[in-house]
Amino acid sequence: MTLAKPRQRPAILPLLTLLLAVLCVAALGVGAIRLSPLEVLQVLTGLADATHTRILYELRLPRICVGALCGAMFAASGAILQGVVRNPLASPDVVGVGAGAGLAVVVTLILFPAAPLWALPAGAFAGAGVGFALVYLLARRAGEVAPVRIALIGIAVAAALTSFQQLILIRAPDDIGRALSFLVGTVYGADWERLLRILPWAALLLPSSWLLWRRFDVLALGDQLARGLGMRLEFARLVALALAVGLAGVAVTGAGVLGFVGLIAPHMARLLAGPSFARLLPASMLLGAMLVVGADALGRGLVPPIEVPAGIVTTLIGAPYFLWLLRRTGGIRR
Amino acid sequence: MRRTLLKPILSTQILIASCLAALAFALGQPASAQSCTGRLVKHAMGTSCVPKVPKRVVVLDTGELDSALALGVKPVGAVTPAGQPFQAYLGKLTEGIEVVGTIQQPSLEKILALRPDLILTSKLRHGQLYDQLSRIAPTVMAETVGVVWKENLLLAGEALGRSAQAKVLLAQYERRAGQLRNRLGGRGRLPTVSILRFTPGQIRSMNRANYIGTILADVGLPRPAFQSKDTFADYISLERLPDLDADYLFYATYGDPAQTDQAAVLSSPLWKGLKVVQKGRAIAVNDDVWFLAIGVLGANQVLGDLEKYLLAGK
Amino acid sequence: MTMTAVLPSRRARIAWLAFPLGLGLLLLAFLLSISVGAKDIPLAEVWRLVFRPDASTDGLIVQTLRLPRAVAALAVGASLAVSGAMLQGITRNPLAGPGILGVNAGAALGILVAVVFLPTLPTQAFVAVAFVGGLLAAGLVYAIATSVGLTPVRLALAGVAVGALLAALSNTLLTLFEERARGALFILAGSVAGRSWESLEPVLPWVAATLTLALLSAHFVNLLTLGEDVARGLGVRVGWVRAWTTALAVLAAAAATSIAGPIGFLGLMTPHLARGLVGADYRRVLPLSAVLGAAILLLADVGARLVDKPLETPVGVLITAIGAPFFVYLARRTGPER
Repeated sequence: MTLAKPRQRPAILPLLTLLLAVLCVAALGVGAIRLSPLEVLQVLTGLADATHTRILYELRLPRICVGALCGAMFAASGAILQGVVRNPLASPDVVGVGAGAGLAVVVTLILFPAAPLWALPAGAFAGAGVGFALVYLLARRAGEVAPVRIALIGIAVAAALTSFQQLILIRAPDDIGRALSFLVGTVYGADWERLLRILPWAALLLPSSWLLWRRFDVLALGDQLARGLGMRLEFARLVALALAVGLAGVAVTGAGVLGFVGLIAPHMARLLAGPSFARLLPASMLLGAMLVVGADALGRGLVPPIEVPAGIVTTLIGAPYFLWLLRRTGGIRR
Repeated sequence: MRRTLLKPILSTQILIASCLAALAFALGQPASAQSCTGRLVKHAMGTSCVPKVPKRVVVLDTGELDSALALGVKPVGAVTPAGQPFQAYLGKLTEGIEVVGTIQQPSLEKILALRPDLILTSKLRHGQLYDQLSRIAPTVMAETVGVVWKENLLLAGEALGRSAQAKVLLAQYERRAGQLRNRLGGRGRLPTVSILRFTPGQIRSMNRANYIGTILADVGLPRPAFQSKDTFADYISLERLPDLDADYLFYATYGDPAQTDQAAVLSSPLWKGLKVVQKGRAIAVNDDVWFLAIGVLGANQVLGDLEKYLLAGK
Repeated sequence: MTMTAVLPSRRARIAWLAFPLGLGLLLLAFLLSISVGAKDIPLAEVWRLVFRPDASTDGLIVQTLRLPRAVAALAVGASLAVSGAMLQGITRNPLAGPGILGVNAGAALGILVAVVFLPTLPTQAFVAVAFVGGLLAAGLVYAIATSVGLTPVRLALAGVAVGALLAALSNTLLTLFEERARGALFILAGSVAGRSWESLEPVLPWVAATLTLALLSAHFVNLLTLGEDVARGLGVRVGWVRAWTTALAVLAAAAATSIAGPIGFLGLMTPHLARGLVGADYRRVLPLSAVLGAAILLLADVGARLVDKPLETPVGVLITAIGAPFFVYLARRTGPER
């Protein structure tokens, strides 16, 4: 939005935080074993029976936390990318992160079924990094990386990586369900250990990205203005991109390739909190967390005991909303 | 924000993050082994302490379901293949078993709510869920599925405290296979058997290293040259049909036949040109029993089918 | 557009040579495609079996399996290349193509929806369903790109966003209706393997009609490449002309997709090759694109059978392996955003 209203909207961040908290409590009650809000409250105050308590503390709570963290990281990644690439259609998937992680996971699951269990998140993270490195190196010309080229080359690299993924999936024996559910993104099976695995990264990357908001603001202004303000453009851009990819890479290890969260959450945030990264980033994170937690709760509650992957729900909700958003705001060009 | 401020903040943050990482590492360490009052069972993911006589068992694959029922244990919960009910060949045995989701995504909440005292599955299917499952109940995981179904039956027997019965079941099965071999005239005079399976999008020429391959080998039935390979299967195109000729050809279809190439193959002139088809010895069989069962109950039914078709042709 | 400055006389000579050479390549590719497979048949034998079929196993293989497959590849390659050339002319955008604009993905999703929700639909209707899907996708991409300012890059990015949406919807259908949709997984990968005369019969008339009409409409594309103002100055009703040529381009891609599933990059790559050989006149670019597109797809399909013999690799994977680097090359030439 070029014409962000100058009027301050200070209440929006606390409001979003409150909404996220309410959503999390509501999500605690949803699943194959349905609990009323009263029962949830009983569990939280330590008055419920052991089964309910275990379902809540061992299964749902870590799952909601992982969903919220990954949603926040995808959203932050998308917000940074849209600023750096200066394109409202950019998202972690456009720079090769999703495709790289997806290919790595399919390779691990199907070509090396005997691989140790830690290989899956490690592979996904490495795949995300390699996918992005490929895009970055190919987009580099004469020591410079034009944002436009990153986006275009991201398309080509993603296509190539995805076609390899198809190649392996078609060769696969019967057990492709797990790979497919990773490719659409899911927080199924998330536990406290998974949460603790991503928590240090989240604690490092999320606040760091917020601390750098001033630089993102300058980068989003355009190359010439940024240079005029005395910024080392290439270095700043590389740092921003690396941060965005790190965020998305960690999020992928936690929740798979969750579609559209990194694309929509920043758009919604821009609508609510304006274009400055100081407020855009936290708003994006909160909205991303809400999206994933809400989508996962819906997926669990829809047709129990079948659990619809959260990525499917975010896509089904996110895609039409995104199109409507583009229409409504007309030119979100910046 | 000035750079002077940025640095201390960043370093504090890194400190916090590394503390969290250390915490994660500490919590990730397995709790020290407690004394076991039941029996210790070694399996693909380690050693588990299972109750002496498990009463509430949950099984998370078709093979484990077959094994448990064969051993006379009715699980309290079991999964089904996506979009399908329990295998029809198990008949009334599955009555009263609660469905706890699909093979791909068992519902952990449902499993926990059933308060099981033993969970049976394989590393191939649910290795990623081992930690969570074993927090719910002692979990025994076979390495993989398919070709090792007899070992998996023995493992299930050990976990359920019914090792003796498992051995008896296998011995009965082996004896029946041997009897069939003798009634067919003994080794050297057995007909060749070709196996074909239609799954959505794939035509599978089944080789030796799979469940049905082991049953044919137990009877001693030879395979056509193209299928005499120690791999799972070849995904073939119609051009390969002439290679499948044999004395008998058994084929089955997974799921809805309209989603597979079954009709295209059966109407192809190459199919009609096969000697086995012209002799009327290309026979459709039940996919549940021949391919999905992966257990001793299913294997005995396969032997029944083989007796019916091969002895009739003698 | 991506034109190298070639002297007119030399280009004229290349142009004259391009057609006979292209047709020769096409014939060779066609025969090779019939000869190579799980069981190799010598070229001389192929010639005999195509024109004088017999009831031997080889004869049956050629007549019932390889010949329809080769014809399918021919139709798909020609249609996609012509579709891509027309779209590049209509949008005056060297990065356009039925893959990038989401037409292929839209058509494939249309077919997937038909397979899952309307299992009784006759195969004749698949082209129509694919056409609707392709048209919707292309319209969506165009609308989005226009709303954020129409540049080649934005068009491509909008195409990717819509492509991601369509892929996600396909994935959703695959996951929710695994039973019914898994048969479509192979279709979605882009392949001409196992196509029979029966499955081609309902589609081939569409392909023939669309290609003929497209070649006859080449001068319209020429007018559109002049730009809207110039064309209008020449008395052309731009809106109608653009609608007509776009519909033909989408129909060609939809017909190709209903045979082989989405095959990316062929429609993007081939027109560049054709323009490099015969210049920017679409009366020559369109037919040459058709010939080259068919030849490339046939050869790629031969390659797809050899890569991992005796297993079959979907030809779409191989085309992407060639096409993605070409797209990278094009993208690297794109300067800062205009």
